[in-house]
This record gives sequence, C-alpha cells and structure tokens, in this order.
Amino acid sequence: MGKLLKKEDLNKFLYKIKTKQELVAPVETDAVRFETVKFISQIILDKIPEFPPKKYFLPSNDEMFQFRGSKILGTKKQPSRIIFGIRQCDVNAINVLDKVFLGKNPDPLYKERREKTTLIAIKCSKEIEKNCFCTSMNLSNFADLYFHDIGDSFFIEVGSDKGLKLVSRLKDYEYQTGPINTKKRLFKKDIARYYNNKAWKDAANKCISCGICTNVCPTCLCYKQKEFSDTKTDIGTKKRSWVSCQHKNFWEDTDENAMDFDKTKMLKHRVYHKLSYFKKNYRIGMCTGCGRCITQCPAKIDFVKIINKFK
Amino acid sequence: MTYEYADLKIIKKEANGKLASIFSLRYKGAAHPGQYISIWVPGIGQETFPIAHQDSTGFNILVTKKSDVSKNIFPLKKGLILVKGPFGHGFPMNNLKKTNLVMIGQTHLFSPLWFALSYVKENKTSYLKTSIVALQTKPKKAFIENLKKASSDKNINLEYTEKAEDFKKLIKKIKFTKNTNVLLSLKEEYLKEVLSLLKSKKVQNKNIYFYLHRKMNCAQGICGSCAVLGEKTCVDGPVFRFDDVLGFFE
Repeated sequence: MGKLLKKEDLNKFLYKIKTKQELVAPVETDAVRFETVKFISQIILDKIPEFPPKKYFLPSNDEMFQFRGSKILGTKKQPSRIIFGIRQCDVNAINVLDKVFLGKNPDPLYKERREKTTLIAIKCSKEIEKNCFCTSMNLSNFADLYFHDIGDSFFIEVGSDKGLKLVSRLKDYEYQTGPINTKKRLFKKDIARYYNNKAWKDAANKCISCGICTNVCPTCLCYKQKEFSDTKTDIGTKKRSWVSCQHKNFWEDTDENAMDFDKTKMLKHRVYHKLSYFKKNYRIGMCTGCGRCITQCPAKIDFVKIINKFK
Repeated sequence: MTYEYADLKIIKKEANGKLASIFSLRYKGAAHPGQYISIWVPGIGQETFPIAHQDSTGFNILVTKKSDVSKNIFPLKKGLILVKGPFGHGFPMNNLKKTNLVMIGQTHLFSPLWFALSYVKENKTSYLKTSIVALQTKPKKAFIENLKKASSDKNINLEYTEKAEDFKKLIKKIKFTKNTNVLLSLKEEYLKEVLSLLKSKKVQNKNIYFYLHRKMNCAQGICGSCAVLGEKTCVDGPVFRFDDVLGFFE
C-alpha cells in the first residue's frame, strides 16, 4: 500500500514540501547535476545526473569546525533539505557513506546533515544509462519515499516516518511494482583470485590519472585535512577536501616511508576497495552500479568489462 | 567521531639527541605496546605517534623534529598537549607468552618496541629469551645508551650496528626456533628486506608481527590516507601479523 500523486500535482506537492527546506533535485546547467532548485520546471527526471549528491553530505571542500587556540568553537549549523529525484544507486551510495560516517564514532557534521536530509527517490522503470549495472549490486530501499512513474501519476512507496509525514494527506493507493533490467551486468564480484591478472595492467596503461572516476563516484570518500589560521581574528578553521587514490601524490609520504606505487596498483586499489575490501569490514559492497566512472572515463576504462572477461 | 581532543599534561621532557625528545604525558587509562596516539597542534595539523612506554603516571612518546606538527611540539617543556587515543591494534603480548622474542628495529622508529620491551621486562617470567637487533641511525648516542640500560637483563640480548649490511648479518646470526616470534619496527624499505631474510631463515609468517609506519590522518579509518590493500593502518593496524597481509609488499 502506498500513495498516489497525479503528475499534474507534482509541482504543487514540491512547492508545499519545500517551505523552510532547501529543495535539491537534478537540474540541467552545464550538465545534469544535483542543485538547489529555483524553479520546479528545471527538474530533470529522465537522465541520471552526471555527478552524485554526495557533496551534500561530504562537500569537496568541507569546513569541519573553527577553533580559537585549542578551543573548538563548534560546527556550522546545517540546512534542512530534501533531495528529490535521486536514483536507487545514489540512495544506496548514501547508505554506504552512512556506514562509514555514522559507525562506532559518528562524524558530527555528517550526522547532522544526514538527519536533516529527506531522500525522495525516483525508481528507475527502465535502464536509464547504458553503463548502469545496478541490478547486479544487490541494492536495497533506503530512501524516505520512492516515486514510481505509472503513466499520468506517481505511485509513492513510503520508506520512513519522515517520508510518511510528507505524503500523509495523499490518497492511498495500491500498485505492484516490478524490477528493472540493465543490459550491463557484473557477473563476478568475488575477484580476489584475479588480483594479479594482466588485464589490470593493460587497463592501467591507458589511465591518465585524471581522477574523474573518484570524483563522480557516489561512494568515494577519501579526504585530506588542512588547517587555516586568521591572524587578525585568531580563529582557525579545519577543513577536509576530497583526494583521489588515482593520483600518485595520494600515496606518497613525505618522509622516507614513500610507497612505491604505480597506476596498476592504483586502479586495482579502487576496484578492489569497491568490490572486495569494503565488504569485509561493512558487509555491503561499496559500488552501487551507477556506471558513472565508466561513462566519464576519458580513457574508456571499464572495470565491469575487464572483470566479466576473467575466466 | 567527536572533533574534540583531550588535554594531556606534559610531566617531563627528556632529550634524545639533538633532534628528538621523549615526552612523558599524564594519562590514566590503559595503553598497549604497538598502539599510538594522535596529537593535534591547532593551526598546524595532527599527527600520530607510537607509544613508547607506559607506567602509572602516563605514557611516553618520542617526538623527532621532522614535520610541521612535530616541530611545533618539540620546543614545548610544559603545559598541555591535545591528544586523542590510544588507538590501534598493538602487539599481542598475551599471545606471545612462553615464547622467545626477537625485536628488530631502527632508531627513530623504535618506539613500539620500547613499549614491548618494557612490557616483557615487567612480565619477565612470562617470556623466554628476548633478542634485540637495532639499526642505529640518527640520533645516535642517546638511543644506544637507553637501549643498553633497557636490555640489562640476563634474558635479554642486545646487538646493534650503524651499518645496514652488518644489521642483516646480525639478524642472520640469530637462531630462530618454532617457538620464536619476531616483532619488527622499521622503515618500509628495511622491513621488506628483513621479511625476506626471515623467510630464508624459515621463520613462519604467522610468527612475524610488524608495526607499519604510515602517515595516519584521521585515525578513524575513514580518510583513506593510510590504506594498504583492504586494511586501514589506523584501525586495522598499525601492528599486523604478516600472514594476514601477505600482499602488502608485492
């Protein structure tokens, strides 16, 4: 049992729920991106955004806190927001970030952002991008609401109490949703025995270490911390910013413990972290099959093709 | 993860050559050989330091004047230092009881072994013979004098040298039995060579433990800066048993 919303009422619905909250959705600017929505008409629902919404939980340049001397002055208050039009791959990616940042020692900033965010997902009814392979990745429902496009209406599955509050006044409706298929599939996920396969080196030789893969990946979360001091006010700021394991300087230590790293190891590190290592610690895979790293790689490196060819 | 650090008081500072000092910090909790702490110097950054010793008043760390953080800690003589931890998995000293121990380390990276050595001395009836092989790099004199004092026990044998070639020879001289466990704390380039040497001496991988000296940033297993294959040095290590991480140095 869920709710029904006529498509002609979508704008009204979104206007209503976005009072006092920021509404974020896929919009077309220079690319299809998650951005704050100024006009509901800007929202794009038939393309996967080229960049994931992780910047709302872990910004690329994130001010962690300010301090004066040794006293931490606190963190900035985070806005409440609704992320509308998010796909299942990105919803599951946020679940991956939750596992890391809300584990044994929750990160205060991430926790506040996560608690203040409502996720309204759009369920894919067909393969939306040719490089999607989400159906191979055992994804689950974690969004607060799921919108299913059923022609002239949306059937809305409720995923949480937070979601229910937004749709409680809508008409109840029953609808049987179905699975989707993607042409691209990842046939093997247990890839430990292929670690030394030559195919990795062949792929890595094409890599130009641009780091686009980690930038567009919804679950890449590695960061570097830096501090800045304002000598006039005596207030310092601690920031963290994204780094990429596909850049050699990520691995270099400044002292004598420098790692002997090469592109093959860097590529394998990324793929194995997504498919293998993360699962050992967190019991879920880190890759959600969005396919962005494959679509956007200028060197056309496709780790799914590589793995599917292993015998 | 809270962003707050605890204030620990500097009880004592002791020079260890011109470029290093041992800081004794007041601390009431328990620490274990092979664990480390994270120190934050506001406006500069944070860095991790292996714990070199613990007693009833607190613990010691060795600070070598090297990085921006350590250069700011180094001049301090008293006051408070902002600390998080102890963190990490240390040497499994309980599991190593009733065995012979071989500790192989080098000067400024010796801290984890200092702690292991003092643990052995405090629990000497629990361990058989302990051999120490030290590669003496900088700082020189103070390190060796302290080592000599620390190993003044009939069940502890110390060998040391300044030369890398002689260092390997000293290791080759040791008689490793099935009841020997090896604890290592070395620069990675030496670590690889020593692991290879130990292999030639038929020491089993499950009997080798090493402290991996990697830059650890967040100390929470999140930022990825200390990742090695699937392991995060800061939370899965920094002490690893070699047979658990065979691919590390390939």
